[in-house]
Amino acid sequence: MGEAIWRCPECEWIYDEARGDAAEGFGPGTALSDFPSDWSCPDCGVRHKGEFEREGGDRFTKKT
Amino acid sequence: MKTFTLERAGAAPIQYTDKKRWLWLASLALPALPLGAIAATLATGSEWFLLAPLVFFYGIVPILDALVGEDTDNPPEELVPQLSADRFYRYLTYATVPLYFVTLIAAAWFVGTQAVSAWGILAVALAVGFYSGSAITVGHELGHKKEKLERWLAKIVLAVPAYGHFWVEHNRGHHRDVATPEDPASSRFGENIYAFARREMPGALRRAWTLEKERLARAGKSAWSRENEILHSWAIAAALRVVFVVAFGPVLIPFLLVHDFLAWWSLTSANYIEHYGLLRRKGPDGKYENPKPHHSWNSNHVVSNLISFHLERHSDHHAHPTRRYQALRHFEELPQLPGGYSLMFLLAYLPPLWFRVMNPRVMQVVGGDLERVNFGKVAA
Repeated sequence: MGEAIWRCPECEWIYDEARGDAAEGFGPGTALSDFPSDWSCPDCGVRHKGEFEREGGDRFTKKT
Repeated sequence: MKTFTLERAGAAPIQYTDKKRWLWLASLALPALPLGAIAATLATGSEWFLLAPLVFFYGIVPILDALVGEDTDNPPEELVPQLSADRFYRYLTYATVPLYFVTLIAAAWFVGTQAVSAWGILAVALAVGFYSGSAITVGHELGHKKEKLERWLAKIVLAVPAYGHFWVEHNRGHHRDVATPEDPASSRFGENIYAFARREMPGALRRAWTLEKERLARAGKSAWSRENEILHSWAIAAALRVVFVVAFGPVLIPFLLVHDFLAWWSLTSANYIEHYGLLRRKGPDGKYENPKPHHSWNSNHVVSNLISFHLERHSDHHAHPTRRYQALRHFEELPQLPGGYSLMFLLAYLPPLWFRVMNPRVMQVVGGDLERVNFGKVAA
C-alpha cells in the first residue's frame, strides 16, 4: 500500500502520509497506522485514527 | 436583521434570519461590566459598586433567563456555511480580547494607585477575576477554530486568567475523554464541586502538559521548546503580572492570586455542570463510544447563552467542536439543565441542593441504567 491521504470525518483535518505533519511531530512517510493508538484528531479531538477516511475511498482498517 | 438565503433550482429558496444577530453584542458588555463598576466607584466613592458585576451574573442573569425564557431556534443546515462565513460574528469574539486586557489593566491600576480598602481590593479581585474567567469562554471559542489568527488570539486572551494550558487541555484532552472517569474536567455522580475542583484543576494542568510533551517528543523536541503552545500563553501571562507588580506595587500580588483563582473557579463551575454524572459506554474493543449528544447537559436560556457564546448548547459543541458559536443547534430530547449557567453555578455551590435537583435528572436521562452513570470507576 502506497502513501495515502486521510481525512477526519468530523472536521476535515487532512493528513498526507507523504508529507507528514510537522506540528504533530510526524515526519514525511509516517503512516497513519503508526500513530499512537490513543491518537485523536488534533483539530476536533473527537475522532480517533481508526475513524479517519482515506481520500478516494477505503476506510482505515489496519489493526493496531 | 440579516436574512441568509440559499437559492435552489426547482425548489423554493431556503431562508434564515438570525434573531440573535445583534444581541450577540451583549458579549462585549461582559468584560466591560467590571470596568463600569470601577468607574462608578471612582465617581461616587462607594466601593459597593465593585460587587455589581457579581450581583449581575448571579442575581440579575437568572431572573432575566427566567423572564426572557428559552430559544430553540436553529439555522437550517444548508445555511450553516453562510452563517459561519459571516465575519460579523467572529469580529465580535476578536473585539472582546482587548477588552479583557483593558479591564484587567484598569483593575490593577485601581488597586495599586487608588485609596481602596482591603475589602474593596478583595471585591475587585473577585469581580474582575470571575469575569476574566469568561475570557476562557472566548479563548474556548477561538481556540477551537482552524484559522491561525484565531488560535493566536485564544492563546493571548488566555493570558488574562493565566490559564494558557486550557487550549491544549480542552481541545485534545477534554474533547477526547469527555464523560469518562478518565476526564478530570467531567464531574462524577455524587461528586460535589469542591471535590471536583481539587481533581479538575491539577488534573487539567497535568493532562495539558503531558499532551504537549508527547506532541513535542514525537518531533524530537523538549517540552521546554519554544514551540510549546502552553508556554506561549504562560509567557504573556507572566510578563503581564511582573509588569503589574513592578508598576503598581506588592499589593498586586494578593490581588492577582485571588483574581486568577476566581477566573479558574469560573471555568471549574462550567466544567462541573456540563457533563455531570454522564458516562460513555466502553465497546468490546475497550474503546469508549464516540461522544454523543446525550453526554452533555444543555440549556437554551437566551440571556446566559448570549453572554457565553452559545456554550450552553453544549451537545452540539461536543459533536462538532469546530462549529462556530452562531451555528450551534438545539436538539429535542437532550439532557436539559433546569436553568442557565448562572443559576446552575449557584446550585452547584450548594451541593445538597445540586444533588437534589440533578441526581434525579441524571437517572431520568440514563433511563435508570447505572452502566451509563459516571461514578468515577474506570470501566473494565
